[in-house]
Amino acid sequence: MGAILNFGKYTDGLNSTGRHAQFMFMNGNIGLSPNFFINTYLRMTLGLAVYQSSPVTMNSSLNHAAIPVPATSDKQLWLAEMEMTFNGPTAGTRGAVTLWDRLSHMGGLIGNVATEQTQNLPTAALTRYTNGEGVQAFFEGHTTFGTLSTTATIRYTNQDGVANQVSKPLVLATANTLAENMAFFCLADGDTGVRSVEGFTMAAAGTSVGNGGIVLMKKIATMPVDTGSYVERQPYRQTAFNGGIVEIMPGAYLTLLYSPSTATTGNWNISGRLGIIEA
Amino acid sequence: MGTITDLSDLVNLQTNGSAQHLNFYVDNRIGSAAAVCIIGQYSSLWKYNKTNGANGGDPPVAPGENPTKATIGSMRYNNAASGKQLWLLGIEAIASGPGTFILYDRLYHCRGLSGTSAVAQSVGGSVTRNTGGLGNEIWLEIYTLIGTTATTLTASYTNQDGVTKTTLPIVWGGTNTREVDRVVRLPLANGDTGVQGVISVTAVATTGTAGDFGITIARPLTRGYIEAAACACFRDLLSGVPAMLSITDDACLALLWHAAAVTAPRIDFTFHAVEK
Repeated sequence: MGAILNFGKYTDGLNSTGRHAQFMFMNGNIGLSPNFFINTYLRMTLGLAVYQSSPVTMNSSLNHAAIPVPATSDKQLWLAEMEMTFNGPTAGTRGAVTLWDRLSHMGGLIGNVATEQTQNLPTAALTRYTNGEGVQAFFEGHTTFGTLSTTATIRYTNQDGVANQVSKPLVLATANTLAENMAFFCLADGDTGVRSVEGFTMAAAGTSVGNGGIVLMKKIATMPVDTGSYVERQPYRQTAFNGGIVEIMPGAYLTLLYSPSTATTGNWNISGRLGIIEA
Repeated sequence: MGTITDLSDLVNLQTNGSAQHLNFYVDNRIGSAAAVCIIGQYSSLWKYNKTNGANGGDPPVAPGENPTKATIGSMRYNNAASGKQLWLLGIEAIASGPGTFILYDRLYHCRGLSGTSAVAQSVGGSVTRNTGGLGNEIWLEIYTLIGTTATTLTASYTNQDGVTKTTLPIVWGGTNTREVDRVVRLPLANGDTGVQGVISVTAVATTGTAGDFGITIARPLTRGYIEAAACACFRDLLSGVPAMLSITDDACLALLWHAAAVTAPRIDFTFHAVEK
């Protein structure tokens, strides 16, 4: 287990011993909320996922993970290259994609109460990035909260194990509580990660029950898929050249977030390839 | 402190425990209040809510302070180990609106200056990083709304050679340069290339409202352009420019936004660095 010793080993890894895998993400007609983040959790072609209510941790043995990552390895895994393409529902649809390790999630939060919700919380204990450093917390829409304009906070344990930290208020509006949308929670002053979430509180109750959840994820990479045209192959990227050889933890559940530029509904898909080197 | 010798060294440093990959999200809110931008103007993201280090507070009144990476509002990262240097290799960002972001080291800041004063107001701040001053800039930063009357303002400062100079005047006050979080960059005297400290600021006339503004000395590091809403920016500092930037120990890293839309941005930002 260890480092990639030199550029020759890097290219060797890509050419011969690299672990390459295809992934594909497709969708039917889902409403796109411009400038928010849509997750691909339900949309991978490798298998059909379903939202959970009870808190669970995520790993690559689940058949709907974006790309097969070994559950255990006697080597370290490094993201070495990636490429993605995006087909928008209409000409000119633009956007960007980010790659994440989905660590832990839960559901069953509802949109019509203004008191703290603790059902199905705390989130399941992290099995990767276990101290929570750099781990982001998201609200995820499962069933729309309906017409809504309020804020919400989470009560969480931070990267140092300090409990009962309270996030900054997140705007919860109609657009970002749609099914499959995700929104970041900003953290209390000085905090740099989330180990677990214990509570969820809306400032005002909405009119619909809906269904939402909390997801904990760790960022891996960013990929612009800004086409400006209907179909266009996007640049190939070797991560060595921007410092982006990021470690992929064994068992990582890799997933994508898509940030679209329009609210168009229609068929769209993201496809691509990751190259992972073992060293 | 060492230099990166070649591509093999670069690859090895990224995988031998020397790398840092910092990701955070900037929300377009300050606490519970929505932020607003103005097209063509600079907005400080110092006080915006974030997932790493969170939102910064108002700085102390003049003579202010020298913020570091430990100051609330700065991006949180680790200094290089003793005898080593941190090198920035790349940045990535997605934003909810078009504009340009500037990554900078916030060297000094203060507030407590008045928008109704027409005499010299003492600042008295100097830098403790990049002390030679080369590349440092003077920014006027507004913390509480000032007045509606446009006037001009200059700053008396110490340049890169330690000589006292006066900036060229900037228009200040009135619509688009009076709002909270607005930043106005002050042009230096002819021939100057940097700033070691700011002595005072002087407005020609009152803006009509005292408000609260301050002075920031900043060292811009690099930037990225978001062409349209929801688009991404990717910067490779190996084959691109500027090449592999050195991050000074304790640098207070923050973002400035040059808006191309009135909607304040939400930004998913990542930087990659290695130490050697």
